Amino acid sequence: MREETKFLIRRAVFLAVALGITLAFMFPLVWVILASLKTRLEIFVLPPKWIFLPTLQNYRDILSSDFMYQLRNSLLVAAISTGVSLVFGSLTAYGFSRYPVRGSDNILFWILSLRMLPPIAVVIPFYLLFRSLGLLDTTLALVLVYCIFNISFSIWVLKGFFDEIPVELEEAAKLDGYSPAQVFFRVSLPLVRPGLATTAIFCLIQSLNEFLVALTLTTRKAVTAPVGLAKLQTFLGTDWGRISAAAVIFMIPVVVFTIFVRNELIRGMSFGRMR
Amino acid sequence: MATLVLEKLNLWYGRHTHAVRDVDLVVEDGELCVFLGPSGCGKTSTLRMIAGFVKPTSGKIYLDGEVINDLYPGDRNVAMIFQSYALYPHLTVREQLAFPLKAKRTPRQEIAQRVEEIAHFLHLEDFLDRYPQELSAGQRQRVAIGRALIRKPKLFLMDEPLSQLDARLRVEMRASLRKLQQELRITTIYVTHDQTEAQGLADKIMVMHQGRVQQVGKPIEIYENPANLFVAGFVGMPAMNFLRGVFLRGEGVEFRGNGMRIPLSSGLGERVAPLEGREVILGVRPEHLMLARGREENVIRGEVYVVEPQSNEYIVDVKFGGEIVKVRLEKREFASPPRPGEVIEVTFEDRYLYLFDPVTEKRLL
Amino acid sequence: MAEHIDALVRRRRREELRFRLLLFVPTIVFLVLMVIFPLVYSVNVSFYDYVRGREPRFVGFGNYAQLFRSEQFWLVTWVTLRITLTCLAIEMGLGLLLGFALSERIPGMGLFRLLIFLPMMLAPLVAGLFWRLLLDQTFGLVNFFLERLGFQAVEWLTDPRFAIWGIIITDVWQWTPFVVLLVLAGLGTIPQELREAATLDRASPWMRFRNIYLPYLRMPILLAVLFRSIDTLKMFDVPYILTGGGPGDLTTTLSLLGYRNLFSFFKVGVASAISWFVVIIVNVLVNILLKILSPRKKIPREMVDTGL
Repeated sequence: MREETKFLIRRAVFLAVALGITLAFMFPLVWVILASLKTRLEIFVLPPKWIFLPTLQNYRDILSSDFMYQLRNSLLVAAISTGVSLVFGSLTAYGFSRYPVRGSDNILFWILSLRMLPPIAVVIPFYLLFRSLGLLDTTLALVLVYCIFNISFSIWVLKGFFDEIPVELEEAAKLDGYSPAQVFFRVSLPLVRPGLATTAIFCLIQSLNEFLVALTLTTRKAVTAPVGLAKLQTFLGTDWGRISAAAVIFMIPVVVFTIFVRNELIRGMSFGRMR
Repeated sequence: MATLVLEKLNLWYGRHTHAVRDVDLVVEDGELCVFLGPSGCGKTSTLRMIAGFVKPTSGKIYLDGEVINDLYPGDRNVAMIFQSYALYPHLTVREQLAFPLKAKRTPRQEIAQRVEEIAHFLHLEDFLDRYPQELSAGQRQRVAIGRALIRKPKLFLMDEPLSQLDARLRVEMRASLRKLQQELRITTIYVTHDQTEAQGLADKIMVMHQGRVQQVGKPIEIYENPANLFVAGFVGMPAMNFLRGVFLRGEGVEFRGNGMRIPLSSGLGERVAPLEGREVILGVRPEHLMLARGREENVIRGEVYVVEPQSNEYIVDVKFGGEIVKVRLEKREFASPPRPGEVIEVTFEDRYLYLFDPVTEKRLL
Repeated sequence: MAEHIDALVRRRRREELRFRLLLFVPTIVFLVLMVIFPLVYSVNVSFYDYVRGREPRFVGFGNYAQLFRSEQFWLVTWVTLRITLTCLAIEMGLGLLLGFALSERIPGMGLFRLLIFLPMMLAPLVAGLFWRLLLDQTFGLVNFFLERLGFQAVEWLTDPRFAIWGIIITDVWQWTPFVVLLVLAGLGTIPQELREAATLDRASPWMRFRNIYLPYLRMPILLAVLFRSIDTLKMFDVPYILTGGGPGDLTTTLSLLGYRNLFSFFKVGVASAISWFVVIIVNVLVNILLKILSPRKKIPREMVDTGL
């Protein structure tokens, strides 16, 4: 009995510490949200004010600034590159899933390794290339580069989803007279709808969050939100209220997306291998 | 209306697995042919070749006299019921039934009409707007049948279609499948590992084992006249008793094996004369054994070992020398149930004796 | 009749061939064009010396030689490695601890599990911004708490001893959740009977960890280590926004050095050489990762193919 109590206490302490750390992890998020609602003076007050009259002035400032345009750029680039990647990705993922040929494993690995490519290695040649093509500072340039990452990611994740479709469903459709292409569009693709949604959301988040490529390939017109945030920080210096407000606005879509895919996080973050 | 012929069909998976070996078969128009065998015997692979999902490594498949080896599954006019039913989770019953017709660009009016007909025929009218997940196992199966029937195929393929049902529904569906097939007279291939199903459904059974055809015949032939040790052991419940031994001539002819002997009737003795002195496997079915009641020929005498009471009979394991012999005996033959340890004598008629070669496993008698 | 069948067979073969081409060709063409060409181009660039206003001069491995002779390069490599190793150690330890705690089945745990995953979904740049605010030496909360606890305030972003810790804290905050995610997934694969059996056996915690949890956690841990090292070796965003690589080059990562060579010093060749150095290091790790990721269960081709 005593041993049991000791065990329970140890477990409770362990849990309390761990949950405490979890809450501590949330703290920066909370702090930034609070900062976005404070006036410039309140932010600098130490000890920090936990109770204050929230102001929306920072948000008003940001909503009427360039940042919204940059956020629009971000969403546009993310949406287009995600769309394109899903089209390419679902076709090829299905190909690898259903028509594996000798050496297709090697090709698959090559494709996955593209996802891991250090952005710095991609950025240098593309900067030079796009400069000579006059594509610097365009949405198209960003979309093209993000597609490399998103296509390879989609192929991997979607292949996992296609692998899970029972073969009989496709065989039944073939027997009914549907061609392989019709089987793909009418049976397989509808069946992986959840997989497409998951993949799309991860592509969106990754594209929204990308910084180095956007920083190098854009200057003004096509600047995206993360680059905008970095510039904001440089220009505004210590105006943390507005910076925080911008960060919070930028976070909203990402957090919403995360809630959508919370059950598929493991698939998205480890390329569908660990389940 | 179609005849199916398989000619020297072979299938290799990679270089090492020879899944189907030299299969020859003729299925007549309107016949229901069961492919029977344990899992991994090649029956499903053979079915998949007929459907067109795998291409035979060698040999030919004829449907109505035409070689269809290379034909796309959808061009064979063959329908299939899968073990899992293969219903599309994203389509309603109505859409499932219409799916094969849409592939052939049937006019919408006609599709609607045929769906109504088939739904009526299979009593599915009330479920047309449901999704497969919302149906019971029996209803799902009817949808699968409907989807196969709706385009009036030449050939019907069924891959263990009853294995997902519970025991009672299975018996029920077995009867209705049989009725359906006889009404429509569609040539049908039916794959199963369940011999009761095979016996109950088939016009013709093909028994397969290790990729080879063991025997093709009417159900009764397969049962009464098994071609070899495998078929004899596979068909029948409980399985045939096998005893290893030799025939020796003393006063009469007797069969001697592991700590046991069976004195044979003179008639049998004559028939086995050519086999004297040679090791053979003797087979006798549990249901062909009966209480000896004083008879002295073809007698198996041993101790009751285990008794399994069934509804109207006992299945008795008799310890016979170093072997166990299963016997099916009707309950009314006993005043009181046989008890373990009791001595029991059973006998069989001459015609129910089977002999097999222990090496080639071929039937000798 | 046989001709009729042949025609059908031929039609279906063409149909299937067209479909297969559709599946593979567009993607492969796109990826090859978008990847092979630029990479070859950048290898090529790394063999030239670019000076503004002059024709590029072929220098062979000159850029690499120059790089390997420079002290700055080795310092930056060391900084990158140090960040990688330190982050890895802390994230793995903390991730295992939190993973075990969050795997407990207690009501409300689902919310905690969702919350803990938020940091890793944010842009690394945003994470950097957060910590720039928190680590500010005059009004940052971290220093405020340190002082409250009786420690001295630290110039997190400018003190040579501590700047690197600012980077590490940010990375740990953002990516420990990733380790937690993998650990949770690994723990989720342990059969319930096995856990129960262990509780009944009253095995000691260490024995339980070794014999029950470890076999199921080996894969997640391995994956976490590889993913994290690959990502940290490429790190750019956090030092860019948090410290700008300073003081000196004490928080400059390889990626940041490459970027600066390109955009501040216009040394395209050197920048390419650096980027290739990163690619090679990362590639070694990626190859190990791929070996591990390679699917063990393969669908035999024959079971999939229609044979046409």
